[in-house]
Amino acid sequence: MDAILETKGLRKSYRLGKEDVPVLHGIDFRLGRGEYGAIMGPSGSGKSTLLNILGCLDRATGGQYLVEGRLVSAFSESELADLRARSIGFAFQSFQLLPRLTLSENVELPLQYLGIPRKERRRRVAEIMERLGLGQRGRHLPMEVSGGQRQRAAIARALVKKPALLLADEPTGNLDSTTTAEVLDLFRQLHEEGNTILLITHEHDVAVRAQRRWKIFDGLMEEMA
Amino acid sequence: MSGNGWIGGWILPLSLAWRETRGHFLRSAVTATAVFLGVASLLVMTALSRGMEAQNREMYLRMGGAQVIQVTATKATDALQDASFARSRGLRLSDVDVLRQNLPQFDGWVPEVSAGMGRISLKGARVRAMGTASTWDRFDVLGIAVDTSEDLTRARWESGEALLVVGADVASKVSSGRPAAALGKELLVGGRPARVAGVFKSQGKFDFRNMEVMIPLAWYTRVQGDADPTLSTLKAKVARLDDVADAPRQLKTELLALHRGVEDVDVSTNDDLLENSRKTIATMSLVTILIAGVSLLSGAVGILNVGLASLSSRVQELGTSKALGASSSLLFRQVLFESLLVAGLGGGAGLAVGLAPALIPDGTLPWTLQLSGVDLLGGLFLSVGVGVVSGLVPAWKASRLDPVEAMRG
Repeated sequence: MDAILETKGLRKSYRLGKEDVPVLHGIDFRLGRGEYGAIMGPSGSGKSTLLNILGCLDRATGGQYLVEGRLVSAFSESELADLRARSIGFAFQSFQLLPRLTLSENVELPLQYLGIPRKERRRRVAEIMERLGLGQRGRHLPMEVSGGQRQRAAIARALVKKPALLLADEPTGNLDSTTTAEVLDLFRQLHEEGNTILLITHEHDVAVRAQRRWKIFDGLMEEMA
Repeated sequence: MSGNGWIGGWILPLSLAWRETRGHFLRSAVTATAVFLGVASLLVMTALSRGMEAQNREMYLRMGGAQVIQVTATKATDALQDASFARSRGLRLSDVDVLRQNLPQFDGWVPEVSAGMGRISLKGARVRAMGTASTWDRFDVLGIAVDTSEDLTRARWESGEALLVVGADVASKVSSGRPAAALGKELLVGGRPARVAGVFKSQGKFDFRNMEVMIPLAWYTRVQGDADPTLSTLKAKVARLDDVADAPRQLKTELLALHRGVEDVDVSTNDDLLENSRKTIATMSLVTILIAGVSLLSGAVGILNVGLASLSSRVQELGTSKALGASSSLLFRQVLFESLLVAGLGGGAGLAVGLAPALIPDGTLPWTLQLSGVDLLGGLFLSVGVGVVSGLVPAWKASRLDPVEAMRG
């Protein structure tokens, strides 16, 4: 199975005053196309830092990081933006929907960044909204729908561009148990349909739903059985 | 690449900027007010200055253009000057005969005695009017157009018949609103009967001659019993344009000799008057530019301030946009367009006010307001300039946002 993500000795440290504070100590990690993985770890373990690097929002200070076989460490800012726009879909814990845009407009935004023609955008948005059970909520503003619907909209926004990878950061962190179950069912379905998913969580119950699991602790990561 | 292409390049950031502007319409409108005031005041004052200049040019031509020189009697301003002025007889009708003989380069002479405003009373109507007694040459030298009756001839005028040429307003008042009907009417001027033999052709509602009453100087001298009356002004026309440059000095020298060395007259050309008027308009324009400049600067500072505040309040949104694939340059354009739209809102309203004079019918205002397409383009350019200047800093900050930091808020 070809790798969507691959890291080799990935390191990250932050400058604090005159000192470098290491956060990631050389992570080797590989996620194949169509896999559903979860990275678990407590607060301060470095999982958010890893997610930011894997999502091309931040740069590693050492090691290699490849997305679909391309070494992104050498990418310019605009190349990283392009990679995020085309290949990576994000679902955030706090949804991060733009408050002045309707759910449909939020979902349409990544397609606009890609310069996709309006007709095609509308078709894809309608399709994904319907697929995620938001067909009747397209004209609503984020503040007008429930937390579960907001997360669905955020997932729809991540998937509408058909990314190589869906990256979810604590996607159920702000949801009640019923809605959490719904969202996890949705991830399972998306995985069964062939999507590659990597979620980051500190909840064991969420992680166990994934096909592969890794544990990160003190900047080191290992795969769990 | 994301953020490029026509949609990502211009339409998308413009559309997002428009949503943001519309979402805070009241704030945007208030911020745009200073730009509106700056652009509107600049355009209105430009239109006004142009109109005044145009009217002054028209007036200049009606006063005989470059070839007419005006001599105005002055009054003593202090006791010393008073004593000096006593040596002279002042500007008199008899001066004209001497000047005509000694200065052959002049071919037209218009002596005038002005009664001033409000000193004329007409039979059957109390009319405020400006009385002038002058010779027939006044019509020719100053190119004054008159609707006449058969009574109005040079011979009758110069013989001192009791004739009147009145302005359109005066004519209207003495003939129930129909100026033409005033011709032939007999009126009392200063208690003496006189016949309306002509009506000045009006150049518009605000033509200064509308309120004038002109009588023959010969009649005035007879009635006054003074064959050599003191003149208020004397207008002299230079025969050849080439002689205009020296003519005022020659005229002044001759008058000094006639008045025993007393400088009791002002000699000015119409060019001097036009130049003075231009200076006044230029000063007015400069003040307007300063006021408009301060207004536009305030507008720019206001937009910058709101832009920075708006940026702080939606750092998370912009960070999310970056995470979703928005390029730095797209965010730069989006935030810059927000400033441009606010400035455009103010500038657009200012342009609309600037265009409004075109809707005012001619003659409603003392001046015709004139505005060209270049002026409107200038207003538009200023608005855009304000938008760009005030939007650059917030746009640059937005483009430099670190998505990770920004999403933390």
